Amino acid sequence: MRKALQFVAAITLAITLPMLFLAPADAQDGARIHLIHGIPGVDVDVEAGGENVFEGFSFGDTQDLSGLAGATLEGVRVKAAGTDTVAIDAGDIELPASGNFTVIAHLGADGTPTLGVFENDVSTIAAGEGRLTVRHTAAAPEVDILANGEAAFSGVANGAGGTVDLPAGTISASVVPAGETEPVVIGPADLPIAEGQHLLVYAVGSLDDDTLTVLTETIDGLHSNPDRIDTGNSVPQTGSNAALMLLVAGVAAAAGAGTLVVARNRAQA
Amino acid sequence: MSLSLPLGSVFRSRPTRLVALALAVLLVGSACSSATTDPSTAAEAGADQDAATTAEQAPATDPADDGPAAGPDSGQATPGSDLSELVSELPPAPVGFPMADDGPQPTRLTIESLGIDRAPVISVGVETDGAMEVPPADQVGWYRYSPLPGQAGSSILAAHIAFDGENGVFVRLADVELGAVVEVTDEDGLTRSYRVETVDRYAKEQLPEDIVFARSGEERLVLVTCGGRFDPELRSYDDNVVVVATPLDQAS
Repeated sequence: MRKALQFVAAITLAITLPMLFLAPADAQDGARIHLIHGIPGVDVDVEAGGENVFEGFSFGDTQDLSGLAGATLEGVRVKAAGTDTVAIDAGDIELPASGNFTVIAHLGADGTPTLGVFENDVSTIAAGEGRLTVRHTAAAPEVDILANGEAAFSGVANGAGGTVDLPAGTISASVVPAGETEPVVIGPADLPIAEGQHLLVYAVGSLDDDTLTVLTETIDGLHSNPDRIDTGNSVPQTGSNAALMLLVAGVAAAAGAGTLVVARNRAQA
Repeated sequence: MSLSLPLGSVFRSRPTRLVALALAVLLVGSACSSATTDPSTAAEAGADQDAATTAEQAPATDPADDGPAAGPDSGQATPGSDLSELVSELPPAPVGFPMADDGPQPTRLTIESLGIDRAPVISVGVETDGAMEVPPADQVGWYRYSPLPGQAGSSILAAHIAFDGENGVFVRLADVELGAVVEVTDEDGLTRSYRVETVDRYAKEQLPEDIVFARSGEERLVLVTCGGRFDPELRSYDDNVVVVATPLDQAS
């Protein structure tokens, strides 16, 4: 039995390694679809077509569904791990054929588990900026999301969110009930806005259960480059080493010529 | 054969074609005890190697596929093993707010053969008009959105040839010889050495972005200044001088 397992492990590795390298290329051709588990404390199995596609999927776990782009998953059911107890009966799910999407299993405003499908903005970001998306996927009422103390997104309900491009750097982010300034239910936290990167923040958990927290996801490589590099508005001065050397060479040549003239004069004399 | 526990854990760590198929077979088998599927079909498909080979070559004709769900007309969405093998596990989404991962920034640049001795390096970004920020004549700018020296990709250091009548740190950069040693020291005091591989001049609007602004791939130091014709009216040069240096320990 142990040998059989080792064999399986070896085969697994042999197959997995090439697949790891192939995956990004595949993803670029069609859609990029990630599935995130965004419900704290609940391990699930995910079933489609009557069989488990993956098991023991727990909070924060992420699966790449890009290989299923354009397909219809029939009879998708999220079940409590190891049981037939259905937590989310999602029915048939058509996965987009192209685009960049995140599917997140999360709690609705009333605490009922649900699947949210969000399209991510992967357009190019201006040089020097990063992109921030926040999504309300927690069992909580409408909220305002504050950046550096100001409301960046107001009246955000469960299942909604917003995206903004910001200068790269750090912002202080916090979440408060809509229209209020306190209590701060998430944060305040220093959020690094990295240049050329899309940071997606999901508020998850439940306000009533005191399990509110955030999950994050990043999409890299959206940067653009400076238009140009201007590194001079005047000509080098003669004081520079290069000019000085030219000068020295010139003087030496002149001196040499002078010597020649003198010598010739002497010869004539 | 009690496969459920070990295969289950392998599957959890990283589903693969063979394991996924074996598991799918297994799941069909185990589901039989509690559900209504016909156990005989699954048991027959349990001739692992044959099933696996078939699935590898022609996933759509998986012999275990007698389920009621998606047919061939729905593209890739065939049930069980085929689904599993099209899905792969990724690193988990981090819980909690992320931290900035700033490494030690470069602070000094030395190119002995050009008489540049520990010139100060400062972090620069982008001007509002889209041009890269460049520091005063006596300093070198490290483009803070380019990789750090030592990381994959091109770490960009730019300095003036001359600014407002004052010679810049890179006044002689165009004259640097191939093989010349370039040293960059970071704020932790660590010095990295590079050797000059190429010296090229490009029209400013034709910079090879894949080399100058690469954020992945080969580790390079890219030194940039101005060169070519100087336009006295625009007070601007036509070209950029681009020097590419690679880590000394990798160079021959």
